Amino acid sequence: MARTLAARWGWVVAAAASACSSEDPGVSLDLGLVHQQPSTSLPGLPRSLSGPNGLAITVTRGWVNVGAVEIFACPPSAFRQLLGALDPIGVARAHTPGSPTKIGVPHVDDLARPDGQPIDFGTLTPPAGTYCQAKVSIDAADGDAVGLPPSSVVPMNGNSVWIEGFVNPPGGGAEQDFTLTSAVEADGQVPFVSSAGSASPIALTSAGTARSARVVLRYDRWFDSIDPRDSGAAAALVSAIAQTLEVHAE
Amino acid sequence: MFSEGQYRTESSGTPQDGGSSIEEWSLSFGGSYSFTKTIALSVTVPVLFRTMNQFDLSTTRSTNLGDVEAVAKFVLWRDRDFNSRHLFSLLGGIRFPTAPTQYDAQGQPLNTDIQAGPGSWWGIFGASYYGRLVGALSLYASAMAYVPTEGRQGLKPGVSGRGTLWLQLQPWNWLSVRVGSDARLEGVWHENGEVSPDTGGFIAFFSPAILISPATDWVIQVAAKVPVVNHLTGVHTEGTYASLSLVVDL
Repeated sequence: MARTLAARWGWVVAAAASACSSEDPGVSLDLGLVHQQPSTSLPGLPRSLSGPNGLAITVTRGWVNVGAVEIFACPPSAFRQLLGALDPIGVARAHTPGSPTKIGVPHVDDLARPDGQPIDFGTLTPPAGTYCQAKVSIDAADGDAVGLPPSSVVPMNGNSVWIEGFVNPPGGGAEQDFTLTSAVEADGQVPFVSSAGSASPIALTSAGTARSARVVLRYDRWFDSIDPRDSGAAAALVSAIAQTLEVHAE
Repeated sequence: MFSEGQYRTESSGTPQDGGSSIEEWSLSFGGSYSFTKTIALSVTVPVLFRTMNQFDLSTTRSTNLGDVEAVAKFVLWRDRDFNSRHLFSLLGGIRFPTAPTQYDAQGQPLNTDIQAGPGSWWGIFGASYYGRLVGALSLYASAMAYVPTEGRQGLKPGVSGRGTLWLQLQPWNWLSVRVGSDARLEGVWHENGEVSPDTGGFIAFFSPAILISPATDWVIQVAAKVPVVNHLTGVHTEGTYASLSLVVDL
């Protein structure tokens, strides 16, 4: 009797312990990084841009380090805010650099790549919700940055941007070379927009929803008000890159 | 020989830091054997059925062998050889890292919260007292320490101390009622040398139970553990434990 019972229990244990697992995906947002301008699509360098006062600027080499992308849920409705205020149980709202709403792995974008060709920046698995904005950080690259060019090509390590080119003055005259490098850092917090430019919040509200978005470096607008020959142009350029970037929902 | 089915829930973390909630059904099988009047050994083999829900709406399910535990009991002192009224024992044992690591479809280890064990060896040390008080009233008290080694994937559980205090009233041979408390004080866990958030702390439960003996040598126990003091670290809660167990004296 005892042996029979023990043997039966042994079989039950063995059957129950047959390891297995399964996963049902939740929501996810795949992020890409591109540089592009709306009117044309260039296969690479050089890129001709317009500066202030009719200045013709040609970029011959360029790198930009995007250090982090963080997404933000749309503000709660007034009704939900009221409910939250009435909730007697406080909820900790911690935040960490490696949170489900932030990718902090730096990626260096090489302007020699064709327009519109995305770099895979990573995939977020954020809490379910509808997301309206993203904060994109232009940071100094470190040695672990994805796509960091070899130092023999350009010493990008420690710099946020490295742009080389030349300027053709509006009234004619000799080309003037420039090199803009800076370790200055800047953030741009922008709404998700459609490719047409209208606001386009990303709804990640049901299990299995997988969306994507692209961080767009609008290089055609970087020199709208910057003369690369001016002192302080490099730091101003970092700020301009952050202020002109867009995030397209797809 | 015994078997126990148990249900419990646990949640930790916030939406911002990748928190999760666990629902666990477990089935434990085991046996206990007295070699002499003073030495006994019990072995428990758990099988865990876990479902983990995360704030990104993903769900992961796992069925797996848990960590097998063997505990020896050495009766240090008893007031008399037969029908003892007071027993004081020392306890010592090992919890083995028998829970295998589970992987996702891409071959990556699943979240540590869904794994059936951390991969640690645990030393178990403790003492217990059983006393028959007045009439049909008895008391059981124990204090145990669980001391782990480092587990897999850089995971190091915290040392924990566990205490039990039960009062049992047996008005008839076939029925007992038990009330008491179980408590656990646990150090924080570490992952790759870093403190793992929302781990460790103190929790105490109110632990009622009903024991029914439908036949000689058979005992059925229906028990619960209701958390009454929750000082677990960070954002971490445990729900009520409910269990049904059967003990057969072979």
